[in-house]
Amino acid sequence: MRFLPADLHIHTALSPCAENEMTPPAIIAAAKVKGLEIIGICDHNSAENVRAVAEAGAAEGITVLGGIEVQTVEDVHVLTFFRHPDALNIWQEEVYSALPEVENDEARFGEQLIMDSCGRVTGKLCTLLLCSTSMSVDYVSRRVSELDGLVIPAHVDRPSFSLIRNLGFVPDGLELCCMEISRNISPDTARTRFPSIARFPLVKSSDAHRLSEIAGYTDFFMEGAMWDEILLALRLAKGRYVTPRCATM
Amino acid sequence: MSHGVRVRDIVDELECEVAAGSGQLDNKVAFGYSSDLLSDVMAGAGQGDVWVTVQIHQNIVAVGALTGLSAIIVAGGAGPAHDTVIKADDEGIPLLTTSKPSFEVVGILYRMGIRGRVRE
Repeated sequence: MRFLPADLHIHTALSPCAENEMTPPAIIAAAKVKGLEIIGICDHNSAENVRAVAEAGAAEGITVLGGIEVQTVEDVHVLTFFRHPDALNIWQEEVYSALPEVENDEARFGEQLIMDSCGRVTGKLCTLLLCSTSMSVDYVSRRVSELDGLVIPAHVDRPSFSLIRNLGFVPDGLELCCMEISRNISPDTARTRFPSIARFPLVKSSDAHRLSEIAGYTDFFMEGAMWDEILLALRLAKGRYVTPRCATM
Repeated sequence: MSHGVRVRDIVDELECEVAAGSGQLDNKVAFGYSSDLLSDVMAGAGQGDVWVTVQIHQNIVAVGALTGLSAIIVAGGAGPAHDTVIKADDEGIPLLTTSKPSFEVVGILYRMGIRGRVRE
């Protein structure tokens, strides 16, 4: 087994708040420069650029976990990943149908660009992605499990859109194996400040909205970049583990 | 805290539904608190307070129990989740629901003499 540097929370130009420089090939190039072997693509409430980044990643030997950063009805952000691309597509449709029909104001929020693996713009999403869905965090947890997926509450240490900030503490009954902390905090500080996350393994991610923010804040110790290995590492099982880096950047 | 308001008085004044905790309507009300961030309520509300929120997640009951609230008012017409109601009954915390938006609810509570808890 060996260490694989990872950054599980990266936005593309599809997220209105992300820079348009976040194209599939540019993300992969930046990940390569930072020595990452695994990246997660999680745009707000959408997965339309996942396949393009996965294709770009495959050409460079970088494993891409396709996901969606869902905004729940409680304004909580959770990362959702799936073993199979088909499940992600099903989830995508369910998330879309749970979004309010608000049109994006590009001047205010930014463009929502859909791209191919070369970074060419192939379309634009009109529905504003920066909205809460009508789905509760409990529902998301249950449904993603049904679809053979993985839920990671995002940046739980942040003052907004966080499970801890919005719901006070980790609710009972959620199917969670780990928590994500932001790049602004060390794992020890996070565990001290938020006791209800102390029993969970932590991953630390960049939540990159621009290329310079992409970085390896977490290392996976495991056999290789396969879904089952990643699950074992996130559960600290069979000698696999995840280890967030201490330095804040 | 000389207003002498009990939860029962709030139910009458707001004409709201009692979703849970109907046996505790004689709870005395201390201050009022309005927030939709549960961590903020845990840090800012106190014993005997009535809390106005639009959150319906079951964690609101745990926050209520932890803080010793006299009642939780779910404003804006969002019906609390089923497990939230069950939990509130278990904990014996009055859970009131109303279609009135938070702003209206707080205004009515203020008119009844209830004042906001101010953090030291």
